Amino acid sequence: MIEVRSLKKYFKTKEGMLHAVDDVSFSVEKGETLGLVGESGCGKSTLGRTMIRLIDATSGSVHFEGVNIMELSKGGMKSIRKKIQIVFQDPYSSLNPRMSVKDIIAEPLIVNSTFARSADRDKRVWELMDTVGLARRLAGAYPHELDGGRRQRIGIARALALSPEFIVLDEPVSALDVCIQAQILNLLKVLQKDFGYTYVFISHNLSVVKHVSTRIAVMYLGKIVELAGGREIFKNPAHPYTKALISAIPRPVAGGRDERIILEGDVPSPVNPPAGCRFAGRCAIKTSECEREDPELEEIAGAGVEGGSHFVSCFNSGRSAG
Amino acid sequence: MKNSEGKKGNILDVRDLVIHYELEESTVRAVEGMSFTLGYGETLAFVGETGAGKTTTALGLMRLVPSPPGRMVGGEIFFEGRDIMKASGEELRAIRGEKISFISQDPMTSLNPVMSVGSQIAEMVVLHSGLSMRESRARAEEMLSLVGIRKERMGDYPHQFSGGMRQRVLIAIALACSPALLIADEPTSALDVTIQAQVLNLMKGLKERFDTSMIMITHDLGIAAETCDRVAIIYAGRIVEMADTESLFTEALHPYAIGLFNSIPRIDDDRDLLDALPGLMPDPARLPQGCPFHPRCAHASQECENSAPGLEDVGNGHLLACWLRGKRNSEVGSVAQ
Repeated sequence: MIEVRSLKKYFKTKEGMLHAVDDVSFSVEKGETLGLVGESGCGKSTLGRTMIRLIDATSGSVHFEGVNIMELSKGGMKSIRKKIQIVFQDPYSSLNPRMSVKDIIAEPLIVNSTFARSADRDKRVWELMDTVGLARRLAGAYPHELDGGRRQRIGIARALALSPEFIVLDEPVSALDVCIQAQILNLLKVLQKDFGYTYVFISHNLSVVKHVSTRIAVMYLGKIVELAGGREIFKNPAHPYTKALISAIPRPVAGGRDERIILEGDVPSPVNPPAGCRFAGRCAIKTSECEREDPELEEIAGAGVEGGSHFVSCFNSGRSAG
Repeated sequence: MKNSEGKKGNILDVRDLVIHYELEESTVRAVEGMSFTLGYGETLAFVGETGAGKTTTALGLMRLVPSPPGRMVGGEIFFEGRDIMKASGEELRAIRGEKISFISQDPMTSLNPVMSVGSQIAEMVVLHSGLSMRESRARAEEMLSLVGIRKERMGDYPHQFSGGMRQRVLIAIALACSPALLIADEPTSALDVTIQAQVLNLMKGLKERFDTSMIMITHDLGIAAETCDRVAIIYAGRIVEMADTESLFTEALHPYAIGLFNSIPRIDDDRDLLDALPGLMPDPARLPQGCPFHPRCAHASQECENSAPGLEDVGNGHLLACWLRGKRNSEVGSVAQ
């Protein structure tokens, strides 16, 4: 459904070029959820926005149902946007505080002149509110009167208004408490089942990503370092960064846990990144090769006990972290 | 330097603490009768959602609830045997920072942006220890290296550090006077997981080294399980369940605690849908009659609507505030495995 090829997004800064997304390629299949996981500043949100052309790419292509949307005209882009939507992280700043719930959900329908009669439009708004579990009595309320969970439901209803096929979910539950988070995650899953949506789910929370994703891509400093099925990547992580990331999650269980891998240092700056593997500076199994050359994302043979392909960009992934 | 050497019993004893925020139109009942004790050298977790009253309780322990609108309505707080509720301003200033230290959630706003980190640590030492400036700076250098920051960075300012490093600086400040009690309010919530792992590891090591007692406020059950000896689950300004980590994580009893466990996605389970608790935490300005959880509880009875259950021992020090206390959790619905 979506083919991303060699996508790059650089930002100019005073110190030099910031490589937010650096030569990333992957595809998303119809009806699946691709999880994009990584720590702050790894470029996952920039990737999510660049791939649907909310910001223009530096280079690379994104084919949506066979059409390269990077080359589309403004008009062509507008018609394809109906099929592509995004839900933002912050349900506090992504909703216009001066618009009522009903107006926010109706806006995409008005902008795209979907309905000739306002009665039909209203009907669609009621339908959307029912779908996402917002009581109709809240139609006249303003965002500030509602809690975070309800606001996020408004953001989801707005994204669904034009019956899209593909939705980028950018940290949709990060601002929410666990109980509300569970309600929203369930809603997203049920909607996908009912309407066949394709999702890219961006999050820093590995447990959440594992829960919702068919496949997971792990990002580090603008690159995808590992890509595999959700169960596979947790069972057989191959990249040392993925291993450290999984090991770092505090487990809500009593007593014993495996020895934790603790990474030294911070994520280096994405401005003028050094040659070689981006992770080399914090890696326990690096070799001199890692400092000279940047490993490509390649399929590993023999893995994939959980089915599907498993890609990793590491020269030494066959070796254990010791 | 050891704080708890030869000391038995409790460093902190809190009884029926009630803290309200009195607004023009309503009274926000942030803390509604909180009672707990903390042993010397022990780490206690406060787990709960936004607005449960965790931070207000922590601030209340140091009498730092902003007033107005905050008001310490009632209760007693004994810290090392002294009644904090009756302490004078001067006594409180001597306790804060020296005996009780606080690490806040946000390392970006709790440091002074126009003061070097070395001076910020030294300032703390000068104020509380009576050491000279030179000695205090030496102590600051020592603290920085303890938290893994090179002493060459003494003269650097907060903006020159990353989030994880700033949190380390806060930890250095908090521990500079070897406090007897450290209150950490979501110390790693603003950090990425790999950095969180570094900071938690560091805190654990330093806590042992200084033998500090600690209250860890968190919304993350994983952090509570891994860093704390005992866990208190807080809902609508009350402790609804409190037990040692082992028994709470193997057999949570309160329907809210069970609901919390079931609503978190875990990397070791493959459930399709999560068992989300219905509804929301009640508005603390309009708490329901009876047990504050009853409107969301699948097992609520008439009794739950009429009166709020007290926190009682259901065996082996496992405390529970629920009218179902006699029943096993298998009858109530257990934690999904």
